[in-house]
Amino acid sequence: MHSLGTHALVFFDILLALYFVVGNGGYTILMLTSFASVWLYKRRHSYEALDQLRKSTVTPPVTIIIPAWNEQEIIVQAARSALCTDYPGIQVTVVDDGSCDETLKRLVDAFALAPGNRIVRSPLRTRPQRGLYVSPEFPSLLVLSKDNGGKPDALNAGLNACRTPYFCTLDADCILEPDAILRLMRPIISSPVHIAASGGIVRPLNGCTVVNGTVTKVNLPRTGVERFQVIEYLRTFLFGRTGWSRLGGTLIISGAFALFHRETVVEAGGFSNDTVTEDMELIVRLRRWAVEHGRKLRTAFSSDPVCWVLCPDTLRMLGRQRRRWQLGLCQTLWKNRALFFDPAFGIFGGLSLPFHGLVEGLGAVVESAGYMIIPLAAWNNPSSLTFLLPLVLFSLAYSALFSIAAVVLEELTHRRYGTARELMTLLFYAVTENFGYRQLLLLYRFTGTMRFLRGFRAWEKVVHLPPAEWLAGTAKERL
Amino acid sequence: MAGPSHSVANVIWLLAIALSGLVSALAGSLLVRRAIRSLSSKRISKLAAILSPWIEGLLDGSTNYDVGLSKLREHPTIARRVLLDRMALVEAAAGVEGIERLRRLCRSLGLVALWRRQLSRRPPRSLITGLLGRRLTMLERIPSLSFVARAEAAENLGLMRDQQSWPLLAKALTDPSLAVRSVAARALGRIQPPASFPILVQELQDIALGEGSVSLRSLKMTLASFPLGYASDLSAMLQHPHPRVRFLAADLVATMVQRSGSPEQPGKIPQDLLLNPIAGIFLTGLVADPNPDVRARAADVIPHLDAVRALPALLVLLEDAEWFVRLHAARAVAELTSPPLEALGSRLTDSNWRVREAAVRALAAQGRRGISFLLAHFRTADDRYSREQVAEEIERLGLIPSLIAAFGAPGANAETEFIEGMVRLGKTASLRAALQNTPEHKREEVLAELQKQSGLANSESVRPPGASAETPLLAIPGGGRFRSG
Repeated sequence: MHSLGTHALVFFDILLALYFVVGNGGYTILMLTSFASVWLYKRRHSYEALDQLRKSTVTPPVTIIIPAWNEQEIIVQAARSALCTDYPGIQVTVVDDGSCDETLKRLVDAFALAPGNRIVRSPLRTRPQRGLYVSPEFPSLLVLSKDNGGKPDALNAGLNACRTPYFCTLDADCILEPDAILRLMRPIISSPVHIAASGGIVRPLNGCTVVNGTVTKVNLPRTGVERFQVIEYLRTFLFGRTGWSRLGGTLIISGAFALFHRETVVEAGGFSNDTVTEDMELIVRLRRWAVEHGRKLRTAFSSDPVCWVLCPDTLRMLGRQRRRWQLGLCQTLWKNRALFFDPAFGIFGGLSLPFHGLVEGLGAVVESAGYMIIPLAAWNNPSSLTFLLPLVLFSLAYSALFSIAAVVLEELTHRRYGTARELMTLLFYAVTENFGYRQLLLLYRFTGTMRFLRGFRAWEKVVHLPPAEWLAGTAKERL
Repeated sequence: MAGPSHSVANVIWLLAIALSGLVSALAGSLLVRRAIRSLSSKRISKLAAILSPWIEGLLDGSTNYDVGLSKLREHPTIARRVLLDRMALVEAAAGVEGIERLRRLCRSLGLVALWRRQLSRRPPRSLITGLLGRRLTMLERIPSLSFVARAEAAENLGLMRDQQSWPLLAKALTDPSLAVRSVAARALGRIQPPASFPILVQELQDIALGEGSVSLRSLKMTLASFPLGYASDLSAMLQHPHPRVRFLAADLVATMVQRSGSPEQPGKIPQDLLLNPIAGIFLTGLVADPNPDVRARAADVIPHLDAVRALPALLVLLEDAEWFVRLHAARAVAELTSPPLEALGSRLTDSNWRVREAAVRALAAQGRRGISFLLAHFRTADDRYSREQVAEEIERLGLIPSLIAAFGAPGANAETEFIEGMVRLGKTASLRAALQNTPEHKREEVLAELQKQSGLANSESVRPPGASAETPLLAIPGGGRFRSG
């Protein structure tokens, strides 16, 4: 028995080492790639004529679709932000997904909405529509009310009502920067290949000052939980997403803020309820659909279109969010397991999917087991500590390197956090997130994976309470 | 066994310590960089504040050119930087004189020569050659990054509308970098040298044939920015045997026509386009093009050519076998000065809802004539879908309150029957909203009249949102119920 246990520990050590090498090796490549990519992208600003894009008659119109379920506190601000977008021919469609609270009423009051009888053709099946509202004062705003069917269903309802060639999904807890859609559209306009989806960066809104649906002052959030998320978002978007985009292996474009080609999404079947992360599922399905139908399409990621999103400010809400993300990742990977190492999918099937499966999906289990088994191994064989201790330190230092690298990327490019004090705070949190926060996230991810294995499918709602100063005033006054 | 294990452990220790050192160094260097940057930007801001008024004066012509220039030459690097920042502003202001002065200033400061030099350089053949190159900037020495300098140069030359640089920009259309090619195309669109149009058209044709090297949208944006008179250069493309080439050419002409009528260039659609050789191609050739996409695009251009010859061509397209051609034709007919309503009316019962919608909107755009036609159609049509479409458009146009006001009045049969028809169709949401804002006596009158109608077998209630819940409801024969107010 003792021998069997020892063998199991050795096997696990090898597995852990493999995970460590593949995971950190992969992230190192992503980091280097994204450094080059983000830097170049920043340099391109000097010759990317955004103004010409704004004025051109060739720039295609876009509909912003905001799905909302029980978002009474923030929905008016989100709609206002979308209406403030600086883009030619912008339309805004808010889909009230059968809210039980005052989401619809507040929209009706704020924008003086009146019922309308517009005919909505439905290429995508959705739950029944309850009503449709238009505003004489804001003609580009359309509000749909429908029976509750979940976020994908609400997005599909918005897609049915959409009449523009492109649409942008926007979460109700988000504030767009005025030129964000223009910047999202830029790669689509300049690419010689059809781009079906274009994503931008999502940054934590907590702590920032919002006036008239626009972020006027960027500040770091107040609490540690939120500040750790700032680091996490920088790491995820500035080097994770950028790196994968450069390599051609984009698995996810955040549905909180993403631009899609309408026809392509409708032809691919719209948003699906199969998983709890409809954005990731859609990206994979679009790629699958393109290969199956012999179409050429690409996805794009840019680091300068910015969407500010309210992040969870309590551990409870953070846990809900991360468990859902992990559950959605596992569901999507499992659903598309046939694509793993399929040469038809190139880098996406050969590298991105297996990497996400091993490091992001299975990794939660391996890493969690590591935290449990390493002490066990040390207890079983104290001499192994001489090997394990430096390995743990090396692992933590490597993680810190990635976080610091994300801050370096931010500093080299966008510098949204302007003061030296904020920079020092970011660096502090980039190092300290490895002691406690990272392990907490691992626990959430582990739970998410376990839920997937148990067949759990429910969507855990993350509730945000915006600052009180947002809640005053009507849309008319503020616009 | 202990020996190798300890060695491995030692190596990992060393790596861990080295990595920790690297992390600390990165963090430290970041803080130092921020501090240096802060100091440097303060210095630049200070100098820029001194130079800015001089630059402003030179750009608006209020400062003596030689005096201003000599001042700028005291700090040439900062002057260039401030000037580059100003370029975007001058571009936004789009003042011809401002751009002229800016161009002169850039030339005097040596910027134009620098940009031309940068743009004419192609990337070094290898990294080693590049690194050894003495006259190249750091960016240009690394082949994969050298395009940035060329793209920036092309952009700046375009912003300045430097006519003399157009051959260089045209040559840059074959640059190995997509970014440089795209920026060069855009720059040519800004400068608009006549000789560059055929080159760009050739590029468009290459794209159509799958051989192009610039983004189609970027190139279209560039070509569409040329005045409409240039469209005659597209005649060869419009008659090309390949349908995609013909389609892109027709699409471009349609965009140019659309842009000519935009607020940017109001009233600039030349009325004598008929004299243009391409008019004949559109009116006779493209109307009967075997490719439906080409016919659809041709429909967008035809109403701007000649009213006499345009109508017969559009009538043919209104009966096209493809729904999207009929759709474009319906929209195009509405562009005519006095379109025949019957022709558009024939599309109100089209098998495709998009065509029906386009026809309704086209009729609604004709003002009172068109609205009367729509109300009459609503009254007499058997087709539920087209009636729904008409109802939606009337509602979208905000005409419901005026129809309610006319309800029951002598000679307002069409209006009265329209309201009744809306109730029969179950489209009562906007009626309810409009009734809420209607004077009480009128609301009573409308509700009472609707109640009398025996044919209103509808279970929907026309309940003004403001009405009290205690108010008794009046039963309508067939199940419909209306609140009495």
